[in-house]
Amino acid sequence: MQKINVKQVLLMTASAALLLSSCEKPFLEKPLDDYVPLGESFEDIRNARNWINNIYSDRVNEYTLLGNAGFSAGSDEAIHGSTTNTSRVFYNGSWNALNTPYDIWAKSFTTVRKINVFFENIKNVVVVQNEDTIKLSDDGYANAYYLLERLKGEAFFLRAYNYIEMFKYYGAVPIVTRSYGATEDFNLPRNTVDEVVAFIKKDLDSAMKYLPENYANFYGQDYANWQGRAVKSTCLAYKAKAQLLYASPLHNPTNDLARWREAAELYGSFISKYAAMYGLETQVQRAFLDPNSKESIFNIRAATGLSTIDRNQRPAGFKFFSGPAANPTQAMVDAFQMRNGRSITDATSTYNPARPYENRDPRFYQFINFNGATLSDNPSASTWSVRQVETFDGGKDAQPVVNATRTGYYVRKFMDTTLNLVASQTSFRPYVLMRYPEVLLSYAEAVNEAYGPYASSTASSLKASVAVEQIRQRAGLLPFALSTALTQAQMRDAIVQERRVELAFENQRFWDARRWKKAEQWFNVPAVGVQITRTGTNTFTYKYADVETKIFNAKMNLFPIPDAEIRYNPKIKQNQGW
Amino acid sequence: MNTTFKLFLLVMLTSSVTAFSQKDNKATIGGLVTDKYGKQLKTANVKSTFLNKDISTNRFGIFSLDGITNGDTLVVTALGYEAQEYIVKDRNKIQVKLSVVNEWNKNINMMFYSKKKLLMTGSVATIGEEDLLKNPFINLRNTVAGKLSGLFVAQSDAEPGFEDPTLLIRGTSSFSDAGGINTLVDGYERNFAELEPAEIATLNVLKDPISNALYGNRGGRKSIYVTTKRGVANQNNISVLVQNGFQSPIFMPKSLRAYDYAMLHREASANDGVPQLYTQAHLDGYKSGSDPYKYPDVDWYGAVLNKSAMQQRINLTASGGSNTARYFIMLGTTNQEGLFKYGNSNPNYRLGQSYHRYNFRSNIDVDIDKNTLVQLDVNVRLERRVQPHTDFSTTTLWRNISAYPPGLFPINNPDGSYGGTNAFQRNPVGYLKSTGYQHQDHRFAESNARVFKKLDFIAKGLRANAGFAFNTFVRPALTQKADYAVFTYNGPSLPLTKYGADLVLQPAVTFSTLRHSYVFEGGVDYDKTIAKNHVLNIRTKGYMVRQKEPGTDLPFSRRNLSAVVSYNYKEKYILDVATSYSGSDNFAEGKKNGLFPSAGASWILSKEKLLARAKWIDLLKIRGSYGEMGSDYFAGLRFPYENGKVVSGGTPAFGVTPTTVSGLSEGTLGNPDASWMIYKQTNIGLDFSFFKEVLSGSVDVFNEDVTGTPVKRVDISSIIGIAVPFTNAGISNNRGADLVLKLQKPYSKNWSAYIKTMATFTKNKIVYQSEVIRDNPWEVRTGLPIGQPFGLIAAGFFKDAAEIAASAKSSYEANLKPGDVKYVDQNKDGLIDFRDDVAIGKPFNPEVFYSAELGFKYKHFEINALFTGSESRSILLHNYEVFRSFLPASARPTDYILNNRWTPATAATATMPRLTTVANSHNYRNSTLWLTNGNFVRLKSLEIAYNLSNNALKKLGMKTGTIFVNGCNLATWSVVPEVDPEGPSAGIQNDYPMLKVVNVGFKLNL
Repeated sequence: MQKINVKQVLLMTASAALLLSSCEKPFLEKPLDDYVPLGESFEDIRNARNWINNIYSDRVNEYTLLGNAGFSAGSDEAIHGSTTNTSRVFYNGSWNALNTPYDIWAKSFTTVRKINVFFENIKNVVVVQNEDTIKLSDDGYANAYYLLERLKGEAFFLRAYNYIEMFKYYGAVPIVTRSYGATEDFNLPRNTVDEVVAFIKKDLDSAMKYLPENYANFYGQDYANWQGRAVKSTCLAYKAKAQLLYASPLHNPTNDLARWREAAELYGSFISKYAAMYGLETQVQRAFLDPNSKESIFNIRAATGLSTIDRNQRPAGFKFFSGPAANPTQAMVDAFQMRNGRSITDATSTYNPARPYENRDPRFYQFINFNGATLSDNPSASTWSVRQVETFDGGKDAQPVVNATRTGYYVRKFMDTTLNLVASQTSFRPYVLMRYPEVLLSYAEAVNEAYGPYASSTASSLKASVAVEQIRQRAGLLPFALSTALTQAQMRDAIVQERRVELAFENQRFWDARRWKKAEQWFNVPAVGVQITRTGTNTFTYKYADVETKIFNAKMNLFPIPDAEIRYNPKIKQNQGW
Repeated sequence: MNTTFKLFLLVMLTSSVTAFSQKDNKATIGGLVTDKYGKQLKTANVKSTFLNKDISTNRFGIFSLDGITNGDTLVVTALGYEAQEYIVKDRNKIQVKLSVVNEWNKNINMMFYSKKKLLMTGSVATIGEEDLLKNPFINLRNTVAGKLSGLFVAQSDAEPGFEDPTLLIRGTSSFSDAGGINTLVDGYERNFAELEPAEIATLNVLKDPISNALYGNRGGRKSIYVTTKRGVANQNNISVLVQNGFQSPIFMPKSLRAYDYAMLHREASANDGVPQLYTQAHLDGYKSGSDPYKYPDVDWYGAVLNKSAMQQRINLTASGGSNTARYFIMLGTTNQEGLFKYGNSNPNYRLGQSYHRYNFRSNIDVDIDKNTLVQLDVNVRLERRVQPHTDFSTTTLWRNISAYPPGLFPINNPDGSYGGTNAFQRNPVGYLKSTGYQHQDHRFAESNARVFKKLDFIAKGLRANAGFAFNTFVRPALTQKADYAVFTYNGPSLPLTKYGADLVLQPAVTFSTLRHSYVFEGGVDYDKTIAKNHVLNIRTKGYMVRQKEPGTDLPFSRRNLSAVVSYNYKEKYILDVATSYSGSDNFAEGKKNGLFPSAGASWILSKEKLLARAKWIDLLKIRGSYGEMGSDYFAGLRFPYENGKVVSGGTPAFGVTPTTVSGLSEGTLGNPDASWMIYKQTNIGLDFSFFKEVLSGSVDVFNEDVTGTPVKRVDISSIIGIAVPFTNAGISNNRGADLVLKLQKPYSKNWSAYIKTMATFTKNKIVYQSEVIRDNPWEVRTGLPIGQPFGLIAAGFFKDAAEIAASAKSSYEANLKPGDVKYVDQNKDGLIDFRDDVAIGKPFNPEVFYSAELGFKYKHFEINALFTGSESRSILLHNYEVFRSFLPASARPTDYILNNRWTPATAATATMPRLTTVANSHNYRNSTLWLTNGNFVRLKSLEIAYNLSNNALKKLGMKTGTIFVNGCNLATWSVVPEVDPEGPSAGIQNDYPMLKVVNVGFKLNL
């Protein structure tokens, strides 16, 4: 018995030792310390930098929304090629606070939270004074102090950018400047329009303090890898944009001219200050194909080549078609003037209804794929050769071909027509968020409203009329000059006309019509398409017919706040009419 | 004097003579052991108290032992019989009659402790060897369906190697951990589905808190507790089970053939106003059948499926041993062929689907000394599951087999190439033959060692045990990919049009998955009888588990210390008190451990004087238990207490030459208070047995209040900008009853019969779950059962445009047409939308399930049947592709659609909407139109057996032998059209069909 006990003691000791050795940590403790609380993670500036990077990717690429038609199908520019696309909800009467084709409410507050969390934690960053250059793998060598400046500036800019977007969609929204815990009361009310605009402008002013003029020369160094991030000029352009929105009829019912004047001055100072940095390309397509185009003020860059747009927008009978996407309306087509700069309704325009696609504004041929336009196709095996677009009855790209255009037109604007899709070519295209022609046209608009059609601003000597003419000249209109005797109202119409054509399909018209309170007039009419009958080898007759009815009510000038928000946050008042 | 006794005397005489001839003084005394009907018992153990020696009986029930004297006490034991102490009065005429072990004296294994059934205070359903070997399915979970009260098993399909039936114990009590059941094999969390029935001694369902008491923070989920077989000293036994079966699919849709299909498709296209895919030429072509390539009529099911497939099972076991060492060894092989053709079409590998399994078990017991027992158990399983290559899912295969049109292209073109079109590039025959294969080899190794030590030297009745288990699972898979092109036939002498690309068999690729766990455990037990009538049993247990799952970086750790104290007075008043202190690594420091108490009591009324006089009452017992148990399942989250984690993601591009940069953002918010769910469970039961067990049964009623279910608030403003964390706020309730009633005529000389019925009634409801604010009371989900379907109330079909114009608009379809469903506009706002949804029907899982087992035995013949049934459940037919007209990816229509669809002519009698070829979310959504009573009764199994006669056994040198024919899923009664009511998606969309299986085989004991 005694012996056995000794053995047992030994055995028990051994198993106890085994047990203990297998758990250096308490058994129920997480065996790996991989949990770094958020605040602590900011000690490493690279994490703070990655935090800001992430926020950039929250920017919405409106071009690919809603079946790659963006908001153009929600305006009078186009309809969607698919009869079941959700963008129809914008105009078929079923739009309400529960059924919205696209909405940014919840998403925006997520972004705002990220930025507020950044501001709350950025003080944790440890910058070692003596070691002022650290290796940052994504950025090359950078001075941590400069990087910190950049990050703060970017955070202010991104918050303002995000609020401009929300302002565009919903009007006044709650201003959130801190992050909330799950058990706190975060049911905030909406601020006023004045407060929101002031908040946006304040953030942009702060951003300008921290951000450089250019990353090509930031504290004497060229940070080529940082191009595409916000700089001072981006802030100024967006500040002007916020002010223009603030001055527009939707938010400026008394037409307070001071608001227009401030917009004119902001745009004016952008134009005069950055004349060397931004300008017009000779070919408008450059802006959509080159991320570094001098026309591009802010864009979403892609690290890989793409051909998605080129495939989506192809006419349905072409190989590699992967649409449908937007189908331009006849109204959009008719908005293109003749090459001589006169509208087709003008008796002196030389427009020939029997040959409607001749002698039009050169942009017509760049922006629209119409019956007779040419495009490369892949008729057999590996050939890549040009053929005509056929949207006439019985044509290769007309109904009843599956997903063929419903209006007789396809969009061409963003296509890179030089791509050989058989060879799987792609192009490094950015998605443009703001480009220089928008600045020129907004400037012209603000100056026209504040000072008159042929006046200029204090900050820039550019006349409103000349700003418009610069775009017409680049477009190739002959003559490009506007009449020298336009009234303020006539100049307003000229600007609207120019904006409609130059910025077509760029998700501008949808919003412009709203801020001008014109959408009820413009968007409340049926979408018209063309029916083309071939009468000979190259002769056609044209008939125009309604394709789809469209409904627009005044309440739609602003988006509804999502139903859930109204239910759960009693302090939020719904937009009028919803 | 019967023949047995004559035989006995003869043998006695012979042996006596022999004995006398050798040594005349020490008489060899013999005896006979029989059951109470006089049947000789083989391998019964007879132990002489005086001699302290034992011996087992031979095949005639006879033992002989030297030196037995009158007055000696023989202790006679035999498996399945009550032990008996026999005092020798006349040493020349010893005949011991054993009676079958009383049900109530059997030991029931519960979570880490066992108890005599008579003394139990909780609720446990149990089955043993005989029930498991009656008609076994390949997957053990299906085998136990209908055999255990309170356990619900729903077979969803019969895919070889991938059967995954739903298991629920007493319905669903929590909406977060629905279907979470602990499964333990020999006290360790292990899968039991792939075990062979021949290796299992008992399988118990633990339904109440006291039987799960020692499982603490997991006990609330309820458990299945499997105990494997062990060797018994001096009971050497070899058993063989061989069965061979034929599987054939049931409830396969009878798809329309090409002509009818095309006719209906034309009708559907006309309804939609879309161009016709099938022309008059097609119809003529199908009718004449003159061009089987251009106008084929393919039966896709017939093209790829065999009418039946084989399955085999062989189990060999050997067990026995001596007083010092015992063994149980099992070798099993199971082979389930798939229904697909072409499985063996390549000599180098298998195609299609099949399942092959080898089971090996060795359970060893060694008594090292009279106080020390060591057990070593090893279980190894090798499985091969054959499937199409990983890039070609069986989901797609089944969908295509059931959906591909019969008349658009042939299986093979005239040149032998696969037929197909641009829209149909996955010719199912090509899919089976020309896409390569995947062989998954599942390898399980589960082993454990335990030591039991009597510590009587410290205190009498004190024992200790310790154990270690190590379980591993490895799944290497071998795959080789290939692919194929399909060709459209354009007419004789015209070139074919090619779609897709051929890919020859690619080099082999392997990948594997790992899982392992280990457990340390130990316990101290103490038994004490005070003043003869007060019995105290204490069981304590401690264990630590660490488990690594595939795909997770960190193992799961759990620790548990628990004890149960049982007391009884004269086996009449019984009290159990238990508690478990258990912890989980999933919660924050200070929140990891919790105390889970439970208690039970029982009163055996039949032992009271008053009732003891009533001879017809064998047993009458009431029992009750209450406990606060837990489940540490926290919405599937790991370390939910960690707040403010950072996660990577969102990678924009910057630079003159844009390059991607990394992004970082805030992870889900944590909840430092995250904790386990609490299950407050009550069980009250009554057991009875009357007229010498002719009528017996039990009734249990139960109530479960589950609180602390993790829920995420949904009724909050978006302004916080991030999802709020789960909190332990959800509440649900589940209540109901289990009934078991058994009526039997016990075995007499020639015949016996029994009928055993079981039923479980459950009713659950969600008390709090955080629900979005609804406009109307009828939309509210809280307060209704878990899984309650919601939908619109259908009010017939639209007759004409005028009726459509006069009715509420639909938010689901702008252009309604005659033949579309008309719905009740619940809130009268002129628009049919989600606000008009009301609770319709019942959840899919039944609230009531029952079974009836019938057995009849006459001489050598035996017949057993098992019926199972479900009540109070609903099926929404539109979820099953065979009812979905020509919607994209729907299954081919059958006669059911042909006969019931809406057309202007059949408007009065139609039960299905107009046919359509385009997506239609107005007609095909939850509504009373599709609601069907899901009740059904199924003849789950039937077995006819012939037990070999004694003479035959003698000649063959066997103890027992049985030849049988049995079958599974033989007949079904329900009102559900077209599909299997138990697994409605089987065979028509993603799933393998349900199978009917007929086996022939034999069982032998040597």
